[in-house]
Amino acid sequence: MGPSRASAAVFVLFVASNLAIGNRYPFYTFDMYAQLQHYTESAVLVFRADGAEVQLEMFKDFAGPELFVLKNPQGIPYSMGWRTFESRRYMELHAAPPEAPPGPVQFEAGFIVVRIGPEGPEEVRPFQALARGTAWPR
Amino acid sequence: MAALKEQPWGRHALVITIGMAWLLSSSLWVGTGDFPGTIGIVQLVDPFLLSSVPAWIGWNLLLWPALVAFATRRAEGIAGPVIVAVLFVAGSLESSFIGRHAPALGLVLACNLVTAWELGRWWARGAPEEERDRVGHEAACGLYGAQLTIAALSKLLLTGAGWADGGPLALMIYERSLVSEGPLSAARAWVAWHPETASVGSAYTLLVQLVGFLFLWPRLRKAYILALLPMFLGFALLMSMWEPLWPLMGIALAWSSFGRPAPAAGPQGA
Repeated sequence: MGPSRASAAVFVLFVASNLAIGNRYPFYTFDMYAQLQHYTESAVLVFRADGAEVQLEMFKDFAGPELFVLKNPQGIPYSMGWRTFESRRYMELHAAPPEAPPGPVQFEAGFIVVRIGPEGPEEVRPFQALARGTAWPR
Repeated sequence: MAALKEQPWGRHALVITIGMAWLLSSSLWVGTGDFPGTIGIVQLVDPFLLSSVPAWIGWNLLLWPALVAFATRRAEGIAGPVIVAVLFVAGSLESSFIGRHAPALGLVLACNLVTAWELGRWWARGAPEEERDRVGHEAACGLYGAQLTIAALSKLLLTGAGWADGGPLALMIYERSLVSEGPLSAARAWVAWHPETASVGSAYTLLVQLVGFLFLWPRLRKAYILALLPMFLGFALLMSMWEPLWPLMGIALAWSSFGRPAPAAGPQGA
């Protein structure tokens, strides 16, 4: 049994309309990371506490206005905007009270730049801070 | 498998999918005051009004009865459009909240599947209900195949065959290895150190999405979904793209029906 007229018609309608209109909600082409396909280096958002690389979840509270407006690295390919968003959200939800004294740990959000070199993956640019504050370990 | 086809679990899976997509989306924007974008309905209505807690309660009071009605086949002419409308609002708010024309993929799929189902049933208006259901299900299958083919065509239009070069993909997988831990991080790092494996994954993804039109053939649907599963698994494990609603809906469409159970055969097999 071949395709029904209904399935074929909806198929043609959706393919044509999404490709014609592009990524304008509610239309979406699911191109995902195709825009990054020509890049050879990219930024990775990382966090440091007193100079050592850490995971965000190791801390229970954060202070410092820069942290709560954390933005994506600029001027460099970056494929994990969702991580910036979720990290900012996490820090917002774990914000220390405004009257609290600075936390015991110097906390930084920033990025490194990596690439796949001839010898394999490598870091090509050291940590560059985007936002600074303090934090309280769990 | 025939017994499975006679059960309406496909429709129940769709309803659960919609409920999950709604909860995931609305948990992002309910009660928030931060909308950097003005996308979809937000161009016409104040997003703070649409996303306030009282409004969110109102959306729930609309959506959940509509989902129950949809699942139990009551007030079908109203339930489907109400579901599409609420999901459209959710997608508008989510897109405006993240500042991009791209809400969660599960939400897009859920909204589009119900839209296609309703289009199919409208197409067959005047026919017996069983036939309208069959056409609605076929329309939903056409939509599912279209979404995948669109995904491949958009990549080809943007990058040409360059998509099959696994270098950039290996780089993205390496990024994710740096922000994860344990076996997941090790697996991602291994792929990054062997970018030829990423090339195979890229080429496979492009090919299997490009032939999404195969989902239009009823007898090919199960095989096509089985071919898609490694792609979804790769997305989840290597790219941190957890999209369980997509394979779930594909399985529901291929192994069950959004329509009524097939009528039981009579004593003579009529």
